[in-house]
Amino acid sequence: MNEFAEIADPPLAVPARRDQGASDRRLLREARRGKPDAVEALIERHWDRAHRIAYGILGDAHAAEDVTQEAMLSIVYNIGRFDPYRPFAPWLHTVVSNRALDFARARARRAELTTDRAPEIAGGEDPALASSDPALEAALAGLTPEHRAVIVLRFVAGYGPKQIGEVLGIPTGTVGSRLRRALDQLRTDLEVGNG
Amino acid sequence: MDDSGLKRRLESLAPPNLAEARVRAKLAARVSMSRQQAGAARPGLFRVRNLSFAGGLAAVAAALVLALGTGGGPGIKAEVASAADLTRLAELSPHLQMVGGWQITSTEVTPKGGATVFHYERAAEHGPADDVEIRWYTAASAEEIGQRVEADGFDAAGAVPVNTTDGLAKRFGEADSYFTKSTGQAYVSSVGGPLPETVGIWHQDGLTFELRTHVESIYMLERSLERVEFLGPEEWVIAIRPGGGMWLNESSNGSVRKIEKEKIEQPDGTFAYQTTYIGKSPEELAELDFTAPFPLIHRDGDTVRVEVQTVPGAHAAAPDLQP
Repeated sequence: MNEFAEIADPPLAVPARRDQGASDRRLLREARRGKPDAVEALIERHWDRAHRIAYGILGDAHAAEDVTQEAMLSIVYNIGRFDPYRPFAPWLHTVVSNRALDFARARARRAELTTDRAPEIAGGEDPALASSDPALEAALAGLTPEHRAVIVLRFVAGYGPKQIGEVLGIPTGTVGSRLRRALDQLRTDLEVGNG
Repeated sequence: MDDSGLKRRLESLAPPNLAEARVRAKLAARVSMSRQQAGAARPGLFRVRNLSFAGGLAAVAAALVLALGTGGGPGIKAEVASAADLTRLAELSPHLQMVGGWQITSTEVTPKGGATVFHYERAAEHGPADDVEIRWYTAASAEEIGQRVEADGFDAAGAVPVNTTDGLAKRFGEADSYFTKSTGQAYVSSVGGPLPETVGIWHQDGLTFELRTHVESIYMLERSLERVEFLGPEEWVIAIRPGGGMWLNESSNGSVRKIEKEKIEQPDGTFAYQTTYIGKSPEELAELDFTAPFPLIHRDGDTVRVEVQTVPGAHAAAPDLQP
């Protein structure tokens, strides 16, 4: 049985998420009133997953931090436009994913123009940024940014195909086909790497 | 490839700098909010930013503040030091300087370490004046000082590059020994405020250094760290004169007016720094004042202390104290 064959949207009404949603709304209301503590609390709560999404798409710890921080700052600046009754996390993940995809595409265009290779996933020469799973990250680096985006939104953010489609602005069917192709390629690359 | 194994590996995918990046993001948001409320323009990213450092355009006239009674414990009156104390100060100090328009305002040495405070008189359009304090320790490790800082309410904010320069190597054109590259640890005060206190700690040449300054980001702390320069003893004694640092730290010949530094992303996604030096005009050079006298130096037991306070627009006479 292929564990990935059954990919359904996860239930949204689990109690922990409902509690967090109510708490997010309170923090958003306070953030709209200009309270820095509320913004810091939102970052404390949501940074890790957002940063992991950007890292999964970009494969570069420095660039992922820049993209996530830029997304967070743009939200701080636009917090007055956000409907506090909408869930915060999908909004943040949409901003982070799309900014990371824009960054990855721009980097690929520059690499084509200069015939330089795009940076590999992992921390480059900085030992403090060494990867904990270099084989997986090397396999992810072989995917397109669009395929990496559906993979990380599924397995890092825990979204189902419908939610992933909403975050990326693509049809649910496209999400499913990208997910299958990306997983097939990941399996093949990891098996070749092990072999 | 086992699917459940792949799923577990994907679910645990995370950048290695996650917690430190979160601390930096909170700092960025705090500064961003305070600027937004002040009606300032939106700042850029903390890690990618253009900067312009204004050098001092005119010589700073100096007044002397005598530290009588302030350098020691209760009931102990500090003495005016002798030439031997100046020698002792020069021997025990690591001869620190901050490159780019900074003046030493005080320095204190003891057998266990010491501290030097630097002041930067910014032009009005660049905001308020800045201060940097560098403490050094002869017997404590960087880890011990880091633990002490965390106990004081600071959050660890990750590794920072510390690229100090050697003033003597610069003077004699010894490019190979000009830079000393190492890695330090950054900390950010958890106490709020528009400019939080940041600390950089590193170990170099047998001493542990702790640089403290109130800046808006880790990026700016890194810029402060790369301004640290080690002088020779003679140059350093000149640098502690009122106005002396302004002369020494702008360049070896006092001709640099402004340093512009820009962080640029390369086509391969890495970053590089581009530095541009803008020279002074002959008119600006003529305004520099190299004639200010030495400050008084005070001794209290085994502590030797000197305080210099720069006061724009005023000169103060001070006894000439030569070693």
